[in-house]
Amino acid sequence: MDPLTISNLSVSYNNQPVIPDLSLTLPRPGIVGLVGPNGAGKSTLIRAITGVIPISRGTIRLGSVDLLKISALDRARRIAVVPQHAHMPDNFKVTEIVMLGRTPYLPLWQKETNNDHAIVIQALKHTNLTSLKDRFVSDLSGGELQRVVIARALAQEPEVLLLDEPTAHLDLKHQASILSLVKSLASSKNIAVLLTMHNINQAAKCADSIALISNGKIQAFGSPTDVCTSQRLSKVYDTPVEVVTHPDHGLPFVTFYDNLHQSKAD
Amino acid sequence: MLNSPIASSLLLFVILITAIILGVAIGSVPIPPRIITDLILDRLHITNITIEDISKYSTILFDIRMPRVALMALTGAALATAGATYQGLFRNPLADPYLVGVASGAGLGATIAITTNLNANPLGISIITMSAFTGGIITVGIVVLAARVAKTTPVTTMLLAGIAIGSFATAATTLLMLRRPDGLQRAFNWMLGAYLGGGWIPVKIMIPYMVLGCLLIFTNARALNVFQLGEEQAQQLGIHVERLKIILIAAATLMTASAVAFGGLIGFVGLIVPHALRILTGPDYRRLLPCCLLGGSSFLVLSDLAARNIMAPQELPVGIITALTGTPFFIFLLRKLKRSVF
Amino acid sequence: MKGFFFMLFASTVTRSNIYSNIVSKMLVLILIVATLCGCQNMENSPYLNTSAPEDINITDSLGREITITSSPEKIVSLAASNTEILFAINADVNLVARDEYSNYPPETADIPSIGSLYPQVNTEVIVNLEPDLVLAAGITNSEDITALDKLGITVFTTSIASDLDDIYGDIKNVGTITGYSDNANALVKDMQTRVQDIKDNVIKQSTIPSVYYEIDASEPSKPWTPGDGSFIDILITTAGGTNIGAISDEPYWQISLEQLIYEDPDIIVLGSSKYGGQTKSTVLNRPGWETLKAVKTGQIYEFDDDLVSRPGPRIVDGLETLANIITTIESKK
Repeated sequence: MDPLTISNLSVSYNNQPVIPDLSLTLPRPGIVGLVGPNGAGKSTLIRAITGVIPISRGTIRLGSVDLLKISALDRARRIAVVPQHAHMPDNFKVTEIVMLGRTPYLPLWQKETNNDHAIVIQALKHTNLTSLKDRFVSDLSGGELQRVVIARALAQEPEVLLLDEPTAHLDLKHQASILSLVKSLASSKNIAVLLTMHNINQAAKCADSIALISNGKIQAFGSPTDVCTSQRLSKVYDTPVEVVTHPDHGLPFVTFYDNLHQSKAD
Repeated sequence: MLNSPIASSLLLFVILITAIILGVAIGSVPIPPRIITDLILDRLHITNITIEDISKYSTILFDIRMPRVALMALTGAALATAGATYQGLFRNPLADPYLVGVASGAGLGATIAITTNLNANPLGISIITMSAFTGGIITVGIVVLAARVAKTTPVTTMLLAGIAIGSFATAATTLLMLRRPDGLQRAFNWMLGAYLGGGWIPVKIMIPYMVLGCLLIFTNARALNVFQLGEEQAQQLGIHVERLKIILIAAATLMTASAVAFGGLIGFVGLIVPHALRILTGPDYRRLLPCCLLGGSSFLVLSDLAARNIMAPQELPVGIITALTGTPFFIFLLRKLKRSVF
Repeated sequence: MKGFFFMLFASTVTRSNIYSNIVSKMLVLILIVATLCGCQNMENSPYLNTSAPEDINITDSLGREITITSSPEKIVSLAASNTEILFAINADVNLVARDEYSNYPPETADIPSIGSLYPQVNTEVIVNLEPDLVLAAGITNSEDITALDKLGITVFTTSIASDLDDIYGDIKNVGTITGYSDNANALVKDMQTRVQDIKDNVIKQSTIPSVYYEIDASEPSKPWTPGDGSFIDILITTAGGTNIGAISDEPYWQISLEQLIYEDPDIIVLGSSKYGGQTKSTVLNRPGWETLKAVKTGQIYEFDDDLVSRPGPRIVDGLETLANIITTIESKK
């Protein structure tokens, strides 16, 4: 199916080019993990794709559709975002939040149709939220809240799903469940997924390919094993990085050198 | 708690009708209900009545009380709906319709007119009223322009600009009042409540502003819901956030400016009525806004009823009644519902 | 009509379309208001003024022409000053209602009050009385006057008096319009005579004491005092004194304690005593005031400010009181 192709993208903040020239392809279905140091441009890239910040140069196409030329509404029907800090009003119920994902499909004054309700129910099912659907947002845990945002994104019936640090504030159990959810959704729903992650190991396990970004440019793109080399990562993160191969699944396992380690080696 | 949207609307509708009936029937001059119904039927040409004292009762009913009740209904509806809109727009429970400077601007406009001693009455509206209306609109315009950054109008900046410019307008008003103490009494009176006895003309003038304002706001009710997620997420869901902000501010300001120009600075309605209704209707603006229309008008009509009659023939300022009665009721509602309302 | 209401109501109950739900609620509200609007009075006024031979045509201070039959039998007074005039010319027999502040003479207590004029005149009560004439004063809100006009009630407005001649004119006008011209003319003559007596005495004065007239002292460091050309200023001068507040030409203004000490008046007149609660002893206790010569010599006089703030017959009483205070100190020199 049509991939999302970003070509020669340039994005500036206050006349400073944060992303000077970036090209990236997100296959569909597929999961791309976007990793890189702080300030490399990960969140900026996501906000540029969704149209929240303007683009100085370049194109973003979904198949033959030029995303920069369509309306915000049309774009919202194709691209959904799970932001890092998804603010949600306390007194909304879970179903109401998920229903907001249908906004791109509903004209101003029309009431939700049965179809919309069905899609919401589906989204709740996929994210295991059916039992929580009438709860208020204020009553949910961090992991549950994250699933609500994902359910809302699903309700948009997107072709592309962007997740910005989806596991940032979650414990191990919830990190695992979110990532496995994303993995299953990508294939079952034919979505091109882009995940930005600080945790390279989780990205390596979940994503099909890794894109390493630094200073607004893609330094490397490929399978986790190819991209995550000690030499490359040390350079990009500006700190000594150690990469070992995990005995069970053969994927790279990344950690950093520290003084403790070195003094033991001495 | 009323779960069905129909139930809450119906209830508020019934309350409004009752409030209007009471407002028209009860006043400083006791008129027997029989005569009231006779007069109304006669005016609607359903029957033909000849009774004693028809002309004085007729004047009281149709030229004094009804326009007053109608004005209060419209003003209450305007303030409550605008208040709810601002609370949604700024995502702040403390927002009220006077937040972005419309009240201080109207006050300044009125004071300028009073202290320059203009006593004209073009088209039957006092120049003080027109000046107040213009002052309110201009002030909000200045606030919005002052808060523009590139092509956006950040909401927090608007809030701050509103407070700053509002304070400036208030200071200018005070200065004017001090420099012209002969206008001081009148200007001060206006601040506490504009002249409410103007007959049908204020009502007729307010209606188009109300219709326009409501149309703009109600059609964007769902967008306002989405807006509660924050501007960025709303944008990512396809909402034209900047356009929405301008439309909602314009609509709410039109309604508030006309309410203030004709009704004066009546407090409490715009802040508390939406919150109280939100407890009943939930956060969905598609339900809340129409209920604010009905609930706000009922509340103000009933408050005005009390203001006119508690110490008859002496009339009390309506704003005092709204604050005194609304606050305990709202606290009661808050205690009943343990969760956070906003 | 009923069918329409029913249909409208029914549409509020259907859930098919959120738009119709919202719009129908709005329509209902507007419809209610519009129906009330439709009940408005299409006739011009229930009180038609027809001219008859004994009718009086008079122009009031707002330049409005008033036509009235020769003796109004039901009068409503909206200001204390006019109430006092009515009583002074014996027209009070026709007074059926008064405002809250009309408290002189004591007989006003027997006349029903329509409340204060704040926040607005109670038009209902006035309409219910079906008065022949409503007397408004210069201080009456123009919106109240317009509202009464629109309700078909005859309103006569006296002037915003800036000197004694204005008051004489108002008294004569009230006399004319109420049919008590003779009494009014006699009253004015009497007032003019008394004023002339005072003026004659003033000429004989050897000195002109300086007077500080206090309007309000809620802030004792910045009290309010009348300025040059104001009514009280004119009265003080006529009474034989000089107003220290005349250094400003604002009608009234706040003088700072420093300035007051600099001017050091001979006499302190407390117009702030009747309604402001200031007394000789409160003044003696004010910090910083002890340096004033008037305080040291005890020349502090509590004064009924109604006598100078109501443009009516008692203005001359006020003038006489001021003159007495001034001659008291004058005689001590």
